[in-house]
Amino acid sequence: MKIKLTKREYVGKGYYYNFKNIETGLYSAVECTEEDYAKLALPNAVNPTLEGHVFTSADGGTIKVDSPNGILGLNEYTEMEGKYFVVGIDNKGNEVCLSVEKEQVENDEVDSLIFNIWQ
Amino acid sequence: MAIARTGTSSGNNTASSLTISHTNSSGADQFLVVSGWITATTTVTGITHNGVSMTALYNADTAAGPIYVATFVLKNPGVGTYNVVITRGSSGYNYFNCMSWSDVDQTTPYYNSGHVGSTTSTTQTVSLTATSADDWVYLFSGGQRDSTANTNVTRIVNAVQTDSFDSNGTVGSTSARDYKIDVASPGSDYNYLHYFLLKKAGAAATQNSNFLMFMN
Repeated sequence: MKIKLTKREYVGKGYYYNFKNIETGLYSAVECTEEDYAKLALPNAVNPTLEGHVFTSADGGTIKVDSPNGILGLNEYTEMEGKYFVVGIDNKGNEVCLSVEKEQVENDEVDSLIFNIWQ
Repeated sequence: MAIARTGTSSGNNTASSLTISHTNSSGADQFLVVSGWITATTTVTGITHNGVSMTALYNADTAAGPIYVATFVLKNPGVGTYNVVITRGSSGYNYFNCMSWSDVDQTTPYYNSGHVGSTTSTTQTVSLTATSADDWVYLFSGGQRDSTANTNVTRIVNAVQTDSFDSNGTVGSTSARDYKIDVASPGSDYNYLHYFLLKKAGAAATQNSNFLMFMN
């Protein structure tokens, strides 16, 4: 089965704070700078805050694209360093970002079998 | 005092660095363990806690396939909420769990450590002999398969193919005991097991023999 993809332009590395909503349990990502991300590793770092949320984690050096939030979303792909990176659902139900050869994407479509990464 | 679990946390991403906010709730003589797996396009180049480098117990463990499994440890991380920062050479999957305990010996916090991979077992058994009935056991299973508790261990952190267990209390015996987990979907996929005994503070540690067997 073919999966229809949306192409995004790679714009560089992304840095994000991740927060958990205290009431709903849902997670939100808030973009930060590389410098802000690096400060998290310092002794006695002061973690970011977001009202009604708890800071849980942060991501450094993600694939940043030209989507509204900068994140490569589900069923989207982008080109980076001569390869395509595709986000889909693997055969265990997890959202994954795979690196694939360019010829595996034709007319903005990819074979769903590439996401069967677990035997 | 007795060993007590004081914190758990986990995180994952697809990036070159992952930061996890980890809280050690209370108690003296803390010990922190960070275990996880990454896609093997690069190794874990370092893990810090509150800016202090953690010590690699095992790194870049791989039996087959595209995954490296790593465990890093740190004595006396201190009480409070601090960041664990995992760094690797390039972007890829990162799945890590953090666990901490109090009242752990700060000279020899762990002993009888081991690591082994498997591609075929539905049950993995570690046989360990504690030097004190007051010690605890830690076990991590990470890689391409999910794991659940079977005997003498409790799954404390359950993330994607990233499962951390402990004895959820003292081991209760200085005789050899089996610690078992069940592993899902054996086949060509594999998981890697890291394990050790946590030494209670205030008791002398002696190296004992240990062995591991697979049961199908």
